[in-house]
Amino acid sequence: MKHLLCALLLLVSAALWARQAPQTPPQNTAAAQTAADDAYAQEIISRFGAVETLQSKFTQEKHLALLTEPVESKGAFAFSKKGAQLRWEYTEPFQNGFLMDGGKTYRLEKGVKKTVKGVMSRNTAAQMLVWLTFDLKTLSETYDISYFEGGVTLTPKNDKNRLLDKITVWFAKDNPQALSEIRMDEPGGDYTLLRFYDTHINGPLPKDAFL
Amino acid sequence: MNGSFFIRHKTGCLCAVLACAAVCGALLTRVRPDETIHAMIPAAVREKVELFEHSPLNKKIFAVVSAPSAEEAETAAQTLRENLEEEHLVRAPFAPGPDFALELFYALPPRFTEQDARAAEQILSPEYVSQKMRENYENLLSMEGLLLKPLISADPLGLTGMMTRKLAALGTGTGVDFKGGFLISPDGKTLIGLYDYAGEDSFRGAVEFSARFTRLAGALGENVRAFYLGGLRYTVENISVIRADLWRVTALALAALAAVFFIFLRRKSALLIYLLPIIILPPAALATYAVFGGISGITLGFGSVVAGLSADYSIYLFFAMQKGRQSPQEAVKRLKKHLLCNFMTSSLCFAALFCSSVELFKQIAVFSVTGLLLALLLALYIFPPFWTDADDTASAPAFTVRALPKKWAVGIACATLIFGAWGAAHTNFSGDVEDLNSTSAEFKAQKAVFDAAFARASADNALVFVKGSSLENALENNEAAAGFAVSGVLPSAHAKRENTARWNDFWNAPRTQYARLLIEEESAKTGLNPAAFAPFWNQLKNPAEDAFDFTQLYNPVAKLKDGAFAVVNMVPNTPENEAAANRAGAVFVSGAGLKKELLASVRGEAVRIVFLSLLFNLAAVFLVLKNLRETLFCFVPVVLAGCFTFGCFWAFGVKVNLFVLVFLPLLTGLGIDYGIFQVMKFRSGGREHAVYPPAALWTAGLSTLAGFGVLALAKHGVLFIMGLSSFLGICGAMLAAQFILPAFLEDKTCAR
Repeated sequence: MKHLLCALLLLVSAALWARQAPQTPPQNTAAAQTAADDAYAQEIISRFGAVETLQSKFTQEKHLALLTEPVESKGAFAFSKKGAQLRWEYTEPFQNGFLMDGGKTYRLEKGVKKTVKGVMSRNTAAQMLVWLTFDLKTLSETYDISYFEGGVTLTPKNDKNRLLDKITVWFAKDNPQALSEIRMDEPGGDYTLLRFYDTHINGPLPKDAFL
Repeated sequence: MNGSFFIRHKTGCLCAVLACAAVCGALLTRVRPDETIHAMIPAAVREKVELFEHSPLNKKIFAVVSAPSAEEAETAAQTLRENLEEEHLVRAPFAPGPDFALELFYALPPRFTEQDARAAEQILSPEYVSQKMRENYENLLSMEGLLLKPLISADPLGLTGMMTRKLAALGTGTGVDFKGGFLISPDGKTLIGLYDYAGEDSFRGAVEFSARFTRLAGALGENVRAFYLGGLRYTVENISVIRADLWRVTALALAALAAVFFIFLRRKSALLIYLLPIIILPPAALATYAVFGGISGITLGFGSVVAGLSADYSIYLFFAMQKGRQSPQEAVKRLKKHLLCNFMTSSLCFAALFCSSVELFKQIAVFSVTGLLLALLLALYIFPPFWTDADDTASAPAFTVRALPKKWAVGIACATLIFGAWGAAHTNFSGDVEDLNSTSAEFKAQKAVFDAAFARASADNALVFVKGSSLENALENNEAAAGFAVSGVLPSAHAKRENTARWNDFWNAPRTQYARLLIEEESAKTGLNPAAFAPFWNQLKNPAEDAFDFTQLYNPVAKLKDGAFAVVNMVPNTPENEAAANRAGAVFVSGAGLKKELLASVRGEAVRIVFLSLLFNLAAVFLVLKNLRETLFCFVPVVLAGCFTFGCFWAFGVKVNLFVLVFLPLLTGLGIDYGIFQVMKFRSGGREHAVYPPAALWTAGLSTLAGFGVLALAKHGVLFIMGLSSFLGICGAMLAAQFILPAFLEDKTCAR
């Protein structure tokens, strides 16, 4: 679960650095493609370094065999690099979510913060950092990363306990620092679609964003 | 073969003896001494101690992390866990994956008890199903939905909760807070990670683990304190200390013996006396090994004691020949009775020790009697021919000792008796198994941190061991001893069959149809697709084979030495649980109870050993002396020395462990020997003064003290208390024999 959240955060963040993503590969050869990808990754890393805060609204569409029809949820999230804080909260049809504050993780139930039972894995925190800093070297240990025009595809390398087939992210065309969509495809054909809008980069966050 | 044979072939005989000793020494290097505390435990509590050691937690490494705040402690504990795993110092503990809840659900049928059936009956109501289906829907839409989806599909009614309650019941009432793989102290500032050691199973491996752990712990930050406890740590501490002690004690004993030599003996040929340990200890150790099939490191450490004792026979003969100007045959003839009597009294004391239920004491008894017998034979036959040379007979100093006036002697004796009686009544006897281990000051400080954080949990809980001839038998017996939670998650094959049949019976066609009706109705209301619950209906009709391995979470089964098995249940330490365990024929072990039983057992052993050694010796000395008054006089040094020792224990606040028991018969033997020496000297009306010079008694006493008393400088708790007891006891016995006993005998002057 925490890996998924980290992945989501990465994807949201990754969108911010897509402003100067190459539209077409500069070379046809594999080596040239690799070099281009590396350059693209470096560019993402450098752009990400500039992001201190982020907030956005989102809609979530669940397409599951367990549901008779797709269900849409709405919500918002906020991120602060300083203090490694993240609030991810649904507002409709149910009000719940989670909050990460430094090394601690909480559940949010109707806006109320509740301690998650169990010890927060430092592993997860380290993973989080990897995502936030877009440490491609570490990330590539878990996912195969491929780039396409206007987006990135992440494919889990490990088939054990595989929850997702792939994660696809699209960057917003009108705002290179904003995320447009994330699609999480599960084995069996179920998928979840997240759409982001009203995104603010490096703006002031509400004082109670992480309270 | 008579004495003249040994005189004629003295060098050949000595060489043959040395060659035998060398062969035994070479064989001894192949023997690996036992360095555990098993041999030290009285039989009455040995089973409990051994069971305790077989408990699953006892084999774990406890990595303790404490910090000024709970958050810091948590972070540091996580870091340490990662680093320990990364360096392959420990096996990665089982971490439940995303499918764990699903595994629990599929594990339910073989664990479906009557109580579960009643609970399941309750949840098949429209209200419950409605609420549960709404929860499922909300969960599906949350971020957790991705993880929960398979479980919701397989178990829409939340039957998995029955399994989680069974797991939770394992710690019910114990007050133990176990979260995220850590035991957490009430204030959250101390965390304990439980790990399985992954390194080499040897002392070297243990030392390497210790060094690497210390390095990792040091990197956690200034405010964080981290250390580890557990069997591995005790191995490192005990063996390190025993090995260091053996070297230290041996070196000091040799230095002290050299000092005694230069003060009292000063003859080259007297050096033979100091060859005794080299000659007698290897064969004595091998004989002990042959009798018991093993030998404890403590028994070998006791070698210095035997060395000190064994020198006495040769010393008495040496002085008899030197001062009495006796030929070897004449000196042996005149002293033989006395030496045999000494050997007999010492052997009888060790015989009393042999009657103990502590295997180590039996080992020490066999080791000592063998060593003393060899020493006696050497003193009677091999050494005397070397002491006839008049090379430097005048170099040994003369000693004159004046006995105390009778009034003074009586007064001091009475005061010592009162001092001893008070001391024995107020001495701090310890029944703590910890005291049989030897640990450093650093370890003790760390253990105190552990105890401060978890003492309550430790004191409030107990272990119940339900045994069986096989694993299946142990599991069945555990079920029969109803009430222990382990049975809920680890049933026997028989119970699994019964539970699965109960599951099938419960989910009969009408009840399944009813459940389907309720779920379909609520699904339609919430937007859930009833067709997606196919895995649930399948599990109701055809429960999956049990593939749940509870032991990867926590293994409550101990395989015992004799091939039997025991199921270990952790329960609150209450009289009710103890009574339930006793009714079921199980073994109930609590830390406090074990200490109490050990202490009672130790006291019982002490009384028996002392009583037997006194009884044996009283009978033996009376048979030799055939005079009750003289027999009783022989016991004056031992009684006064015992009183002096226990008085000092009380006065200096010495914590006495059960190894003082080793000392008691030794003190009895030594004290009686000194008493016999003086009685023999005075009973002849002064005719035998020449063969019983005071210097002989001083040299014998100080030699024993040199071998024995130096143990008081050992760091190992067992060797220390033995050494300290010996030091006090031998000093007391020597002083009583030299200054007080003569006052009661006819001739008060024991000059040269």
